[in-house]
Amino acid sequence: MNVRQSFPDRPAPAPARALRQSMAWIHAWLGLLAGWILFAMFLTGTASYFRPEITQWMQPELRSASVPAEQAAQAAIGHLQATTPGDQQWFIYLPDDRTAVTRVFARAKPNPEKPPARRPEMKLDPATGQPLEARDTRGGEHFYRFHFQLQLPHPWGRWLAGVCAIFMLTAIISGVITHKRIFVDFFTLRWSKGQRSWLDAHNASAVLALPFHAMITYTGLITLVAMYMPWPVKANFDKPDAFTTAAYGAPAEAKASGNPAPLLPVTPMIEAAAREWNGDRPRTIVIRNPNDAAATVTLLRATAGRLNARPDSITFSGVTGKELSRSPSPGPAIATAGVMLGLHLGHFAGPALRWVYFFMGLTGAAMVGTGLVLWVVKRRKPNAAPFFGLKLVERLNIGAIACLPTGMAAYLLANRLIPADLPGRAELEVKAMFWTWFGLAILSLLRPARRAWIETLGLAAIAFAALPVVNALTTDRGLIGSLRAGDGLFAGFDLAMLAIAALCGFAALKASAKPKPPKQKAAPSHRPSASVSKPAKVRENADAL
Amino acid sequence: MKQDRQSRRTAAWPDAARMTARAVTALFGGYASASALASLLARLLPGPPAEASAWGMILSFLIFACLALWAFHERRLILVAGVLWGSALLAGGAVLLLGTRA
Amino acid sequence: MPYESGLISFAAFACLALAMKKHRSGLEPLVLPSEGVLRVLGWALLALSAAVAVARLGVALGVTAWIGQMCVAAPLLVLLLSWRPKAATALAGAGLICVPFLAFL
Repeated sequence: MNVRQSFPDRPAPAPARALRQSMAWIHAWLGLLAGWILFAMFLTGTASYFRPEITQWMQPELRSASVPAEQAAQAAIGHLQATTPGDQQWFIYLPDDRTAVTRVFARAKPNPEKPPARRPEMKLDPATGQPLEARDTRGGEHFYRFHFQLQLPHPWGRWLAGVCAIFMLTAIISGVITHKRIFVDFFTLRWSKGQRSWLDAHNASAVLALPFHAMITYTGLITLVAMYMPWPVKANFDKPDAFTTAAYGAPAEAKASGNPAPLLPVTPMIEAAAREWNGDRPRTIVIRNPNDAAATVTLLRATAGRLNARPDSITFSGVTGKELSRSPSPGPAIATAGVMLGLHLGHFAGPALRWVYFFMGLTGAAMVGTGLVLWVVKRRKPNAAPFFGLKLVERLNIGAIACLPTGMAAYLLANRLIPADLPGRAELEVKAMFWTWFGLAILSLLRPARRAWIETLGLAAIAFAALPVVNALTTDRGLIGSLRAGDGLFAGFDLAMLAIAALCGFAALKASAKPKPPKQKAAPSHRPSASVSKPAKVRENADAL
Repeated sequence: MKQDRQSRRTAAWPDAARMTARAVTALFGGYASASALASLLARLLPGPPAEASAWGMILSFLIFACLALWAFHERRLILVAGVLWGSALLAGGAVLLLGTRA
Repeated sequence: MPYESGLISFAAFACLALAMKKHRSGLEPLVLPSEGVLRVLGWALLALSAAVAVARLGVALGVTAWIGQMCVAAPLLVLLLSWRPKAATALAGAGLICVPFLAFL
């Protein structure tokens, strides 16, 4: 196997060249080993920028209604008071302009005799506080969870995602060192030139969005830093809780007093908090020991519009309404970590910047995908049977790059096709994604590699194009109706699916174009980029990967 | 090319073993060393301990990435293993000896 | 319209690309300014796109939005430039002309 192109056995070349060679070697291998998982992480992570929107699309029964935070909070508390007033804790997730519903989660008092059953999270009508009935689905949450847990048992999925992220980080650094013509080739992309084109596409997608790639990789590691790298905390603190308290403030974990006392309305507290927060409203309300003399109400600030994703919080007494504590203003390091978290999650981004994030995510997927294809193209010899490793990598490329999109489309299609009241339908939707993805990858083995590329990509195009059709047939919120009603979310979703279908179709078309026979003499080209002298190109090729 | 591959196959086993050792050292030794160095940094930085710990955590991945890349760049495997595992032991030992701050 | 910064940086990258010899041909009817002029113009526009984003969104969000929009504008330009160089150039100019009007949307 052509494993060690430039690594270490040869006589030592000049240091700069040696560095570039070893970096090229490690770039190719790290990128390959982590590439397939990274591609899936990029694609599902990109979809996760629209997590609430996907969830809304997957519950077409619910229609969003805009309600002030105060009203939604009071309505939710009204429902909880009427159903489970003696709980230990209530969590209330208020609706914002991206979510249609109030979500509540109530934790019962611990009962030593019989531990209370874990209650599911409930969806409430923001205006009335009445429970909402909608089809059971994981919604956008599924792509989000898969993005860093990879559908593996805890904690292995997160560790695997972390290993892939650190591979990605080293691949970015080694890739920048390897690519010596960054500025000369900055705007260069040449089509239909085989390996040359794949290298151009890989370079362009990597270099032009490099700030995003570096940011998203590093901040991705930071999101789970407490799990990946707990040691700097252990070096300073005997208990991890002490670090949490020092960094983010003491949690108001007061014990219930046992003396009943009425819970004050939260509206004045929300107004008091908004005065402290430049008019921002809370996103989450945590009420501990409701209807007890020791009741507390903690408001967590909405993070939209602010880079730091660690929300400020203020805790009030639920009985007197006095402010008890608030989160400390963070030091530079804690703030840096919070901003990194915010940059990764992108919750601060409004609709415009969210689309920017989406396209940058696609660029990331394109970078990983072109890199994987380039690995194969670079090692394939004309007129020679491909060795086993090459065939394996190519098949895995097809399985990851061309079959995953169809799997994601199948997840969304299943949402419309599985009956809305079928028990266990949420799991069935998830299964639909993985059965389609892996099943298609296995089926594609039956076809020659080139046909497999064309057909799986074509199938992805059909699957995405089918989504608006199935949506129109199974719900009353089809594309034309949505456009007429000014329903931006549903219309935008359908149009985005059509755009993705077009993209997959274009890829299938490109894959089916007859590859040009490698010519020794380049045909007279009107593109200036082809006129770079040949030896320079060959040398650059040798160095590039 | 063919001859090249042949000669490689005869020497394949020690090569593969060396490469495995290098990869394991880069991944696990790199992690151990980055953890220990980041912890030492967190322990030694002046200022509030929570801040120092956060700086250590933030910088740890950069340290890890650079160590791992160097582990593949440096030709002498002994040196790589010595530096990575050695720094992990030294820095980790120092952190243990210094004890926690809070 | 929150994308002025991206439109300006699209034009800025177009100037910087056309300031390089290998991207200058294939645009025959167009008469391009000299390479030096385009290079200065490109950097000036890039600075302007940063200023516009910061003025609209404040420093922290502005710089984030500026870098983000550059990361999208540059790949779009390169895709278009490799496929229809004339259209890319025209779009850069048209986008730049539209910016003052879009700023009020």
